[in-house]
Amino acid sequence: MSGNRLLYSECLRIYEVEASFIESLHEVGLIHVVDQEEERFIEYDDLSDLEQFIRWHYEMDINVQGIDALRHMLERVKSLQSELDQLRHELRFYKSGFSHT
Amino acid sequence: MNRIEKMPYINYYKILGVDRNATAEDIKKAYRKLARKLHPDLNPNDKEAHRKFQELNEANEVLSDPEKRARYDKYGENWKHGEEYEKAQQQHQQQRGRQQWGSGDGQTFYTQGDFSDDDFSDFFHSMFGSGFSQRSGSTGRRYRFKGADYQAELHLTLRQATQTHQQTLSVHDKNVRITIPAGVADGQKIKLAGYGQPGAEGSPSGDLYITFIIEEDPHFKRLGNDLHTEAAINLYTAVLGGTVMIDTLDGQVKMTIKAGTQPGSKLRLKGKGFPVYKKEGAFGDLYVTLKVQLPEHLSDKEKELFSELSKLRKP
Repeated sequence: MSGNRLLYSECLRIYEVEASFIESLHEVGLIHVVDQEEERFIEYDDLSDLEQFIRWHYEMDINVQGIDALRHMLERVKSLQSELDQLRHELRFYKSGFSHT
Repeated sequence: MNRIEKMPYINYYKILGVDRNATAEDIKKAYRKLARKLHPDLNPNDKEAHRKFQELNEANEVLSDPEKRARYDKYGENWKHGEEYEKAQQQHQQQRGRQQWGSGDGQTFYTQGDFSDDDFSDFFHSMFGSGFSQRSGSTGRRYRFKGADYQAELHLTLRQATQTHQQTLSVHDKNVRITIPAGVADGQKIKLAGYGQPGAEGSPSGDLYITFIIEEDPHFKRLGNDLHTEAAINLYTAVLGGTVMIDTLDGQVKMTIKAGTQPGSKLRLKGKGFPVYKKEGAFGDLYVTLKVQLPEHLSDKEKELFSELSKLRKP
């Protein structure tokens, strides 16, 4: 470990994952591997996402392309959920007898 | 009947949808197929999917581990009489006694993402004891290095949400003082990095996510940054005009009512609405819907005068 970053080699050791898996995640932009002074790191901020991707890959047998698609779909679900919450909130408002004009 | 007698037998094979002769590969395939359907990561905010995944996870924990599977198969539905039972039960009680789960006033906390001992059933604990939180049963892989994220809900009144203020939350026996900016919205979520579960062996702590729940107010309804309220005026003020005192979030203001104001008319008080989140000095508007109250229990004299008035208005 170094500051708020985890050494790449430590990451592989801790999670017992193949370097190719992390590299693939990095290549499609799902996590960021930082190169600095001949060392490679993964930011602590990326660890939650990384842990999630590891679960999806090793527990559910989802490949990196699938993870990328899934991630995108979940973001979409999140956005739609937020819109749904907003519309529910507005519906409650109008049902209470008010109007906005 | 004691707690043990009430504890139901769990058919792990049925949960995984495999028969008792299933191979390790069959179990792995069945688990993965169902995990892709039920995993909480893929079913956010779905409590039923979360519950089913807990069952699935537990079934997999047992059936993918040859030792546990053998013990489960040996005792099966007669597990209550298993030779290991009493020993495991004692161990379970001791370990559970050491675990604490915190919550504070108006706050609820829970973790998400993966599972800990507390997510296994009493049946499981009775048969196998505790201590399975860090690694997956099917792969033996470690999924958590960073501490777990905590999720919390913080309930605020509408009026509390109008003021930037500080609150102290009790997060698992640790006090966390946070500043809540004025204008926070119902359902809004903020992240406090590093305030989740402490990481083990020098690993980073998880994060704390707080979702604000803004309670309904009896006088004001909020829509975005605008507030809406109602005010009652009498018939005479509506017909002849006058003034009325209106409640706002920061006291009363006097408003002029024009002669001939219709019931349901809406007035706008600019800048008297809700503070705009993280925009100091910016506020929405307050809309006031006027309700005209008609006089009741008219005296003979009033009836006579209204009658005269009505004649004047007849075409």
